Amino acid sequence: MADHDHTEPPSDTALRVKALESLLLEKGLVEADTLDAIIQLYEHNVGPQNGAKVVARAWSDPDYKARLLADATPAIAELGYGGVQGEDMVVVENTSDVHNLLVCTLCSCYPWPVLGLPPVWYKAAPYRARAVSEPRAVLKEFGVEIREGVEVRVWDSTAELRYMVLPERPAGTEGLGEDELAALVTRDSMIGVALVEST
Amino acid sequence: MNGIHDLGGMHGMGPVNPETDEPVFHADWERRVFALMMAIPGSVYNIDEFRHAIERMEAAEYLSTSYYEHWLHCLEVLMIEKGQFERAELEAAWSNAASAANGSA
Amino acid sequence: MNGIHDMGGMHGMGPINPEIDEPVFHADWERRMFALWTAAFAAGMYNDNEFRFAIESRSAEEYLSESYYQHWLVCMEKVLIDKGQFTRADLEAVWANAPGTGASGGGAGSGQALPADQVIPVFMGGASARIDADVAPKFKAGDAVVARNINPAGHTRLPRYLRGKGGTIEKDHGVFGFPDSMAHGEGETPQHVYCVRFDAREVWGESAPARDSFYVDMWDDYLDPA
Repeated sequence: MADHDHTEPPSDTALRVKALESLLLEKGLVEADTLDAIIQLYEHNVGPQNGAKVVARAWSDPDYKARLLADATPAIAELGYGGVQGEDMVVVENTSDVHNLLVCTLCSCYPWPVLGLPPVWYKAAPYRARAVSEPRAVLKEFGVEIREGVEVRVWDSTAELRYMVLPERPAGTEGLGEDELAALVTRDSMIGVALVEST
Repeated sequence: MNGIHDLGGMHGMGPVNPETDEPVFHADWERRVFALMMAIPGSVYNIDEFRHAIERMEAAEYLSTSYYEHWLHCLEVLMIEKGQFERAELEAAWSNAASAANGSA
Repeated sequence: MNGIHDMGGMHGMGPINPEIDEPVFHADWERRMFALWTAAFAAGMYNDNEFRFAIESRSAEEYLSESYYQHWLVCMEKVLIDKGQFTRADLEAVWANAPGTGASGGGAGSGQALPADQVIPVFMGGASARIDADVAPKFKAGDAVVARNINPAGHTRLPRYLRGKGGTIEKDHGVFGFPDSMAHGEGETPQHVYCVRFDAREVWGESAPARDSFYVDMWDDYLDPA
């Protein structure tokens, strides 16, 4: 037998979290209102709709696009977005010659202020393992085929720089205003696993 | 393939934990699996196919199951892949074995 | 460490399986877990590097078979115990009372807790990992470099698939803290971080498409001149 008895944690994860929460509240390490505010912020306020507005602005305003590609953090801040897990942003542009794909092979680094919290698939083993070794096969699984003449660039977020893809503006959107353009931009297109469609 | 089996250099695997006076087999089923593996004719599959079947195991399963469980998994997978029996036949055999075990109580 | 988390290039991981219209949180406990972790992080109870290393240190089976927020739960318990915020006995006591475990409300507090009215300023403001230190860079854009073949047992952000591979400095991002030391309480070791370009064929051999590439951020201490 072990020389000290260990109580096993509750097998029900929900109970285990509740226990941790109660302990942290009891010790005064977190406050209940703070927890609610954090949930509100990241479940409802911060999300890919932010990044979509950045993309729409870049498509509509060439000077803005130039600023965004040169130094993304202040350009994104012009629209009021920024903060934790996005303090040092880099935006990379898809063109007819280059298709960009983002991954964090080592964990789950992701640009929260513009895309919100990452989806399960982005953080899981298959994407993290395969996005670097067979990006074109991964893209095909997402329904995107990149022709041979185009360079696929995979950005592996190893440091504290956070990346976002500026997708190509689809044809047939010339007359659209920023709001209409933003409505077309999906989260997946800003990770690089989707293209933006004109409808 | 760069599978989970390719463990050379990996950290975090824990202590080696050799067992003192370890028996050749820890349970009768291990003995049976070993014998089955040795008895199947070499024409059915070769050692490379066998090793690759183990490499193709799902990573978490590979790490959490024992050596002879790997052999058992591969026997099942390879026999089906080689057309020696079908999945439905294997499932029927499972069911029969379970009934026999209950019935013999 | 060369842990299971370092999975760039691994085979046998299966299909990606994205969930259509995936919710931000799949269960209420995930929502609570995210909030707890974030509040404690903002209050300075641990840094990113330490926490990542705790996750990397989970057994490979647990790492592969448990969910993302389960990792956060187990590691947060461990890190907070290691940091002396509470003891294992404290934790076991709340587990024992787990059915109907209700918060006893804010305690006397240790003054560390982040107040609710600070959530927006702290999270929308963030805290850059950049360090204002006068450190000379070892490299400049255009330099040919080789990623070192280092295999530290502790935390590192140099993935195995790139070790020993040759690349080119694209850009100097400036000076940041070094995770390999910060994860273990060994100080910031400020140094330059570069964006380094690697050709896909350099990394995976001739079967990789000729034009494809990787762009990966690397610290000075991960690189040698080619």
